[in-house]
Amino acid sequence: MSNTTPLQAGGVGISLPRGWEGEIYNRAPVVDGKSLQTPGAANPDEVARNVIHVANFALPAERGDFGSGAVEIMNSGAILIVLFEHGPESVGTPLFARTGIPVLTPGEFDPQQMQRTLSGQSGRQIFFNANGRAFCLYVVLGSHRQRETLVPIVNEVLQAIEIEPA
Amino acid sequence: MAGRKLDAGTSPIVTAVVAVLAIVVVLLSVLVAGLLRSHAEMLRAFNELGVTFGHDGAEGQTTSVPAPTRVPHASERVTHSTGDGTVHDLAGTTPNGGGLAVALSGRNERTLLAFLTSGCLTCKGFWDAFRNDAALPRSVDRLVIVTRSLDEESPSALINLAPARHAVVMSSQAWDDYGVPVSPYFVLVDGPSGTIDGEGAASTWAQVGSLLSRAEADQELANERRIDDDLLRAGIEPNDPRLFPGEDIR
Repeated sequence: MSNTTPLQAGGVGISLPRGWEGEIYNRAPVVDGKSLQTPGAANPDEVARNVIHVANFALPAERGDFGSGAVEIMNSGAILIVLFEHGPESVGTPLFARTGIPVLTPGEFDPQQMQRTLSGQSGRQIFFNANGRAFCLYVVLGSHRQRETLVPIVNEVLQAIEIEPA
Repeated sequence: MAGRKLDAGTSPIVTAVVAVLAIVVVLLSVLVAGLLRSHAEMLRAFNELGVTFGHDGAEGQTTSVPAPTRVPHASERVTHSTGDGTVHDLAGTTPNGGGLAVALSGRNERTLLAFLTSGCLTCKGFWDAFRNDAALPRSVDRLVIVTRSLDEESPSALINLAPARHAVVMSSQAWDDYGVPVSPYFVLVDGPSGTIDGEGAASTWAQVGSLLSRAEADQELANERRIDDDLLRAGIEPNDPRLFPGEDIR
């Protein structure tokens, strides 16, 4: 049996470690002529593109873009990684000035960085660009206390992500 | 006299008609025999795949579609599928064009894989049940629907069939990995042990639940017997005081 499982779509590829799973889907486009506003977007009228969820627990089929529906079932060793792609108009803006997939440190995690605060959990949200594409990275740890153990695992998975040019 | 005249006048015609009818009857007999033989061969082929035809008790009506009857235990499985008997994680696409990877082994969950197609008549009942939030059997934590890949399936049909609450992964590789012989087909994967607990075909969701319950009961019984055997080998018989620490058994 292979030790990794491939996940690929929308110009993003990840070799998931054993026990990890994920989904890449395209966020719903403009509805009734109104653009969808996305958290952290530089331009509130822009429309997001791909959403990538990877986790070391069973992801429920019904989830919000930033993991609602999944974070509620996370145990202390669980990790959820969300990559939320923004439109090309975001590339080059100050919010997405950081280049390359970030490497995170345990000290960056804070329970207050959660989209919705859940007891014991911890989060980190960071914006970056890679290969001419703009992303928001959002990571949730099942246990803030275990961040020293969990963050190196997060970085291993992040480094296995390949983003194709826009 | 009139009858005799009629007999004399029409005898050659009647003879010819009778002869033609006789030939037609013979030809039809040959045709029917051929059809019966073909039907028997089909039944035999389905039987070899673990599928039987007959009365569908769950629905209370006779069905013309396959009414498969078994979810054998893992020890029997190899004779009914061409899979290698090991658990494979799933990787493929979604009907909407996204990517999906599902981990099965080394997890806490027991996952039921439902191998369905968009076109098979029996599968339609399962799609409907899953869209209507049919309850999962007690021994199942989650359900994942597996269809063939984009080159062998209709994504537009699947979008209409897919339930919101269960993942649908399109992967012909998974069908090959698990040696799926017919559709619909079900495989129960035990995450903690990384083994296949049971698999087989069924014609209704209720039948799947019933068969899984039976398989689970068989497994529990086997576990009890194994524990009893272990205890006997250790010299501990039923009602041995050591089985009831703290109790005063006289």
